[in-house]
Amino acid sequence: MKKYLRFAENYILLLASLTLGLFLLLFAPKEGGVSETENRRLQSFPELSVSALVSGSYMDEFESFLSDAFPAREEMIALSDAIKGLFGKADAQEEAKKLFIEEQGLAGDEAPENLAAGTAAAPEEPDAQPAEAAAEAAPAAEAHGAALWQERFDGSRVLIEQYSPEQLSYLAGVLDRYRAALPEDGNIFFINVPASDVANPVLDEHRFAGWGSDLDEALQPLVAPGVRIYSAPKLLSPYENDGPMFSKEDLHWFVKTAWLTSNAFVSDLGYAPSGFYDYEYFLRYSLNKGPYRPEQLQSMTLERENLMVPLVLSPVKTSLIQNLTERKASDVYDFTHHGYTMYLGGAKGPYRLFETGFHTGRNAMIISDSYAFAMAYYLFPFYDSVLQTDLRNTNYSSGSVGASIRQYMQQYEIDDLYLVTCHWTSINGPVFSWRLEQFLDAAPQMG
Amino acid sequence: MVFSSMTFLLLFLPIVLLLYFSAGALRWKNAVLLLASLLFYAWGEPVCVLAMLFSTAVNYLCAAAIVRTDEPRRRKAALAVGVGVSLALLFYFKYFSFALQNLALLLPRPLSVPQIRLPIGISFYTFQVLTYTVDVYRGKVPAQKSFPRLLLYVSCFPQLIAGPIVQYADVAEQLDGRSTSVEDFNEGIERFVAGLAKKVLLANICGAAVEALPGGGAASLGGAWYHAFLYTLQIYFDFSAYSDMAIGLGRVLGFRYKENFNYPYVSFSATEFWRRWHISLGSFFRDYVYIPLGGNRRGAARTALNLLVVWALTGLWHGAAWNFLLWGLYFGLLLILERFVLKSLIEKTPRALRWAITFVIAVVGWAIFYETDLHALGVTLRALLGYAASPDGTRTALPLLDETARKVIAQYSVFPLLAFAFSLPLVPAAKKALLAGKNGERRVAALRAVSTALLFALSLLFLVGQSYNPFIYFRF
Repeated sequence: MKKYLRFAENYILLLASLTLGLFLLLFAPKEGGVSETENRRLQSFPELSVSALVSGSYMDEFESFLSDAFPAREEMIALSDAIKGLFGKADAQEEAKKLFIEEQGLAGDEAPENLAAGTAAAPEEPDAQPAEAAAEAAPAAEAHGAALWQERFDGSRVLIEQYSPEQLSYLAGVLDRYRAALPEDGNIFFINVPASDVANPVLDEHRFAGWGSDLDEALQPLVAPGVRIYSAPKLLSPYENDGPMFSKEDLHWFVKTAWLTSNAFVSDLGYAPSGFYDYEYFLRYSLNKGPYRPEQLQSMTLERENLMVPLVLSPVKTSLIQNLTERKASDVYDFTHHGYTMYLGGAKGPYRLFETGFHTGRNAMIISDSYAFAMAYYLFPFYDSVLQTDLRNTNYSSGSVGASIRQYMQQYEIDDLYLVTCHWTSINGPVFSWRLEQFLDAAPQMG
Repeated sequence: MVFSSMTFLLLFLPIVLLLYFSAGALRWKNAVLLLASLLFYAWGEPVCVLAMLFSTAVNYLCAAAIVRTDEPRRRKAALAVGVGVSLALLFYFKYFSFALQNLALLLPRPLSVPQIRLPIGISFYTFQVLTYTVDVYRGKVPAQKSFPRLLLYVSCFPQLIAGPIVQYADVAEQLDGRSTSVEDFNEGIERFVAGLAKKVLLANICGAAVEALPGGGAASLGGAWYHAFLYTLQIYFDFSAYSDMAIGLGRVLGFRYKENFNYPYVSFSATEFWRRWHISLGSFFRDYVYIPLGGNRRGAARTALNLLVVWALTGLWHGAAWNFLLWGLYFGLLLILERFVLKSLIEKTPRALRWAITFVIAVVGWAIFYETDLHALGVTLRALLGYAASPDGTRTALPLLDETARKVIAQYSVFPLLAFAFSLPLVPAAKKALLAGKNGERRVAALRAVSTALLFALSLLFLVGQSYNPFIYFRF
């Protein structure tokens, strides 16, 4: 008898599943709505075609449709997040916010003495200083090279990062070597941007009176002419009241902020900046669950300010994303690879050669983390081609990488170089500076 | 198609089971199952399904040729064609680009390396079809007269794309005659739901934590170890969950697949670990490589060499990258050491220490397995030892914890511990204890009923918000 009760339960489970599946198939709205929770368009019912079937995109979209059309989807996601929270994995955004508040000493009434303990000095620094020492050093950052900080209303500072004179000297040497690899009229633009966890409490939440960085003042005198160092706080603060500048969902800045920064760069070359709405964004559909489908994106052009940066790896209409070795269009954001990090011509992840459609006789290279993804397009009117790479991940295949950065610079006749990172990609650690130096003359070796 | 997808759970599986159990005679059941399996595979690999059909057809013909003649040379030739074509297909799809990439390093001029899409499950179905042809050659099983039945064996959707590797001899009779009892149905569905929950509730969350630690967590000592620990849990739950689902579905359909995992993280030696991990792969290499090479019957040196060959192949089976070879050799050497050098020492070591050492061996092994790039692997292994090396060779001590690792540990604290607990045989122990108590059977039955419904509902709940959850072993 018991086994028949079990059978009945399992049978009901199957029938209920089928009923739900058929309900979704037959009665769920075929047009995808918008998910407020995830800030994205939901998948509409896919159109059947031979090409969609052969490429497998129909199956992917069908699966996304079933998931996106699920009854009470938003509530279910909220419930699953709540359950995860019970077991330690709280919603990432809330968790990040909570941690951040705790680190900044804003959870209670009194700010703790050592506010820098959580965020000062990147861990991979070869000569990282104790957090206490870093905190004490904050008000006199120039004695230690340079610093990035937030400023409280009482005038005291929360140190975010600090760079020793030795580190700055090392970086300056690397930048000069790159400058020497460019033509005489070439330029290097360098900016290290505080991520949203530093920027938003200042610009958006106004929990701090201000922020600052003297990296530009400390580094500029050390580098050769043609190397231009920028301070993100100085560059962005004037636009503080023009609406949100950084994402609340993750660490990135918004496209608009990237646009402002690129305009600062090109203005210094004497060019008229691009208009923010010069480009119509669309994202290529990625084989493996790209965040948006082309038809969805067509109706999203006005929402671009709110797109997260990795999701705006989007070509504009004048650009073409190419795989350098095979010369074919590359997936924009391929989840089958190790994230989106890339090396020029590397086999892991999308690496980009943008042929801009403009003819200026100049070419640019961007070495960056994801912060430059939203920025590249605004450089297009000034270059024939823009080559983009990312040094953070060493998941490269030496067979397809083939060459050093210098060789790529020569091959593509690079005139200007843009170095754009957020402060999480610490400029004084192995992730950035060391690889910047290492890869100039040697293609990454796999052992 | 992925087991843990809405398409499979809400449409494919219930419809296929309804049709299957309505089909009546076995030949109709087999027909339903074959068509469903081809659809299941083509849903994810609409073009590469042809490679599977081709491989199966060649082996069908070769096996038929083997049994048609008694002449040893002809039999061997037919075997060689079957094995050769299957392995050539596997080599082309899986290893050709890798071989060219490495060849390019030796050549003075650049070599164009094609990017070849790896058909899902090719490593699994290739080995399966090989067991058929080789066993027919050995006279262990008769040749299958019906091509659709052989194709059903190769393509049967529960075990098609991520194992377990079912040897033909184990299911030959079931292809021609099987039945499903109510007990089979119940056990199968419950096993499937348990596997689904392992994948969705444990493996995917461990996977999210792994992804949250970039660069293998190599910015600090604690980050590197936590990353390796999380990946150790993720890969176990990911793969064993798939095996659970496959075995459960097989049972619903009347097939009895052998177990593929037996709580590997309770092992007291590397040798024992491999008796408990991916058992079907170990059995395949034992039966079709190690023993034909001479096994342990030709002296210690030859045994050691055979073990190294087997483990190098085991490593490469997992992927076309040097780290997989290293990973295989790492375990091969450990097994050789345990067998010939450390045996008496291991026996004298306290069990708790043996377990801890074995677990650390597994964790380090998975760290090697994770990084497909040797440079990154070097960074990871150095980080596990607590230091980083700059380009000029200077060593720098890493901090105990970096900021990202601290955040990930805070964010993913309880789930990994929960997962670790479930990687130990707590459920069987609890069941045993319950059964020993008063009204034990009733309690177990009630718990099973509640847990199956609850786990299925929870899995669906979590799946709704997870748009991408591939199984790690799909890429093999």
